[in-house]
Amino acid sequence: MATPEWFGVMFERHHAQVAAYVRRRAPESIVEDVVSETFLIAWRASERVRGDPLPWLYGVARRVLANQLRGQRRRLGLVSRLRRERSPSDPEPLPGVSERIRAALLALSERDREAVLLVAWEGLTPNQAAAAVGCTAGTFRARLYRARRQLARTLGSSPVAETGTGVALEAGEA
Amino acid sequence: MRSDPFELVRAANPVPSPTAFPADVRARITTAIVTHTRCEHGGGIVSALRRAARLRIFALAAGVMVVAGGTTAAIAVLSGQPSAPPSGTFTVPTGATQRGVPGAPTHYSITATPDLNGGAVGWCLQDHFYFAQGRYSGGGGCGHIQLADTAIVGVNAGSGSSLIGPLDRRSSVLHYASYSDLVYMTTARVAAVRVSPTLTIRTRADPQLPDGYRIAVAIHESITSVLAGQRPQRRSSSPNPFAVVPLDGAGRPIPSHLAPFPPPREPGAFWQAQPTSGVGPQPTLHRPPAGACEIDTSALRGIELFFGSVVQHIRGVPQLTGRTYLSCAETQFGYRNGVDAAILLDAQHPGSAPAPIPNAAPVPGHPGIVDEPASDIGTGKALTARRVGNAWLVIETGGTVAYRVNVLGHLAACVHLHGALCAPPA
Repeated sequence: MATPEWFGVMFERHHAQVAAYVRRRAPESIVEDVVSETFLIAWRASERVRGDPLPWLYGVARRVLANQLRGQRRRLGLVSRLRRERSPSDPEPLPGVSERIRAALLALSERDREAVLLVAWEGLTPNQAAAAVGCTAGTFRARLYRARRQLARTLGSSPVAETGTGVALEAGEA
Repeated sequence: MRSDPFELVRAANPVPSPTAFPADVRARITTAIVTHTRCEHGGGIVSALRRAARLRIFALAAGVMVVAGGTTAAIAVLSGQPSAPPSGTFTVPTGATQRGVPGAPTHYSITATPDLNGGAVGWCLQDHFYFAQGRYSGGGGCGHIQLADTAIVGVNAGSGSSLIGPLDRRSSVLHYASYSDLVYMTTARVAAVRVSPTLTIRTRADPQLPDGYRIAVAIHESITSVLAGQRPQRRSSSPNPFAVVPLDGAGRPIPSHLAPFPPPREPGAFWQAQPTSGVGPQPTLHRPPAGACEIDTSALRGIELFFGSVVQHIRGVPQLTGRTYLSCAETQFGYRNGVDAAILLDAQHPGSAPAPIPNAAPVPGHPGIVDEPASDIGTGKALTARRVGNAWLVIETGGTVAYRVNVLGHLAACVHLHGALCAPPA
């Protein structure tokens, strides 16, 4: 059973990074809610938090965020039906990202996009990121490779050699 | 120019540096999670978190509201109910004797403490409700300051409900203890606050309050019975806590505005010890970065630095009229307990002697160190401080007085105001 002291220290250590994870993907208005629910789950399921909790917290935050956005879309749809008006637009995904990069990222599948962002924005190694999304390191590397090739095509830039990309991509523990 | 698409995505990171939530938000979230989960059923904690967030948003919206009736000339005889004390007990039976029933709160306390966030100015006003078996809940906000036309310095309100029985799932009726508080921190000239036509609360002095401030507290408690599967509703007659009129000793309204929200603050640079994700290689910080104020933790062996904020240029907030502090550096670290350390200056005239720490008493055998043990009874946190020239070096943490004195004694501090003033570990 986790103690309040353990939880307090874990929250202080990691909440800013979890909040940044959410801010990179969703509007500011839901950041606090998502972070709160993420740490609530961490508190209730503390026996599942082993080793470095951050990748695990990212994985929880991803699911909480998806639920929140789904709920928000349902509410907006209901309002639109009640008012018989044109549906208000969904919350803008990836707020603050330039149109070109956003379009390229949104063209990826949700899984491939998350693979890229966990490494590029959260700075996880492929092995950490695999733990965050709950797949094997091999599967994760395949997603990352596929995503990089598609990004290279969409952004019109030349794909680089597997060994040529920055620290995060090649710094896996495996 | 690099053409790696991965680098393009990395460079497009919209949030290159994580930012910690303000201290009051962190405290509200952790307190709600650690305490409510054991006493509420189903999604109670999530709704409790959202209720707290809504109250905070409401406070933001109301921050610029003109306090109603400020220019009314009507004179009334000062009457109304006396303020409840800042800490007290509930009379509703707790119901906690039944196994698995969380029960009603047994007592409460209201605290006013300096805001330690780096760059912050003002006071935090919080309430705490205590239940059986050491559980507690509560919340509040920071940034309460006094300006020339401020009579109400801080407002806080909270409510909750807790099952008192029966736990029998076949029962068709459940009983809840409903409780709420309404708290005003006022300047010394406010004798009462009129919250609604039927609720006027006379203020009272209290030693924990800074600068001669007074407090008006109304506590409500009741038992509510609802059909199983429903939750008790909030009282429809609850007054709007911000539609308040401060009254002087003759019962006359005092013209007043609530202070602006967010309050003025010095720009602070946020830092964290672990490398920031997603922005390339960075070193792990082993000491907080330099700034106008510095807290040196290097004499404490085995600590883990978390994060903090430091002000780069101290200007002060001359428009303040009440005495309060400016936190020019804050460092959070782990040393058995989580410790929040800060350097507090006089907010209006940095460099002049800061106000005494309210309700703090000298620690016997440790000259120059004062301790304010009642700052947060629920979490066991207290404020311990020592002077560094015309500044306070303070820590807020749990543990015993001896632990706090030991931690504080190993910290060094520097204030760069009119030349550097540094104090080594005590």
